[in-house]
Amino acid sequence: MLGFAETARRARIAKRLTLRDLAEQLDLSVIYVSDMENGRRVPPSAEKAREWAKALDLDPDEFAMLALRNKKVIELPIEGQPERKKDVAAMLARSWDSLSEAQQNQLAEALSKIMEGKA
Amino acid sequence: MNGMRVPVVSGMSKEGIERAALRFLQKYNPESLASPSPVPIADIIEFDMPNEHLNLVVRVGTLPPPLEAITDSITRPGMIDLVLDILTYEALRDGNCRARFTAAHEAGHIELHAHQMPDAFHTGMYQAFARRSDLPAYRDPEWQANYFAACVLMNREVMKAIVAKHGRSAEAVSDLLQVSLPAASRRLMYLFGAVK
Repeated sequence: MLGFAETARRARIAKRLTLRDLAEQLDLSVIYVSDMENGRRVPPSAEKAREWAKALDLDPDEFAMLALRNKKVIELPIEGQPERKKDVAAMLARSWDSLSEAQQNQLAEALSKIMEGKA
Repeated sequence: MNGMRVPVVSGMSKEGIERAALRFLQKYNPESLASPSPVPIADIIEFDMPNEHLNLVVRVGTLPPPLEAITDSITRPGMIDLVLDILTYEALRDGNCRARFTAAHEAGHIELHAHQMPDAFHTGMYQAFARRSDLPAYRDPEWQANYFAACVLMNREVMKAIVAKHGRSAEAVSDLLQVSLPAASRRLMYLFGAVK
C-alpha cells in the first residue's frame, strides 16, 4: 500500500497538475508541497488532506485516513468536547499500548460501523 | 567551474549525444520534430520522465548558490533524485530560456549518466571523481549534458527547417524554440558555421 507522500505525488503527476498550481490551490508554498510529496514532512491535518484530495480527484476520506496513518503521532482535540467523548479518547490512549490484535479488530469493526452509518 | 570535481562517465561523441537527444524527443515529444516549436521541457521533467522512470523523483527545494539544479543518482542506490532550486522551478514554469536549458541539461544527466552511477560505485571499478579540467570534453558529464540540452532544445533537422525559412537568424531560433540568443548562436555556429 502506498503512503501519503507517494500517493499524492503519483496522483498529481497522473493529473498533470504542476507543483506550482497545486500549491496555489492549497494556499501552500511549492517547496512545502514538494517536501510533503517526498515524505520530508509529516502529513497534513485530516482537513488539509481532504482539500488536497479534492485537488487531485482522490477520495477525500481515504486520503485523510492515509495522512493520519502516516503520522507518527495522532492528536485528538478534546477541548470543548462532551465529557463522554473525552473519556473515550482517554481510554483509547490509556489502553493503546496493550491492545491485542483481537481487541484492535473489535474496535476497528465497531468504528467502521459508526463511519458507515455516517456515510 | 573547471576545477569542479565530477563523476567520471563513459566518453560520448557529439554524434552519439545527438542520437540520444533524438531518441529522447521521439519518446517524449515527437510533435516538436514535425515543425519548429518549443520543446515542453518543463512538462517532460515534471510529468513525463517520472512516468517513464519510476525511480526518478523530482523535487523542488532551496539549493546553495550558484546551484540551480542537481541530479543525484548516487546517494540513494537505485533512485534518481532531481532537485530543482525554487527559483529555477519558477523560472522554468514561466518559460525562462536559461531555466529551460538547465532542465534539459538535467534531463541529459538522467538519460546519459544516471544508469552508470550505481554500477560504477558498487563494482569498485570506479575512479569516482575527477576534476573537469583533467577530462577531455567527451568524457566530461557536464559538457555531455550541455550538448544534450542543446540537441534536445534545438534539434538538427528542426534547425535546418528554421534556417531554410529564416536564414541563419539567432533571433528566429530563439523566438521559435524558446532558447536564449547565446544558445541559439552557438548552435547555429556549430551546425552551419555562421550566424546572421
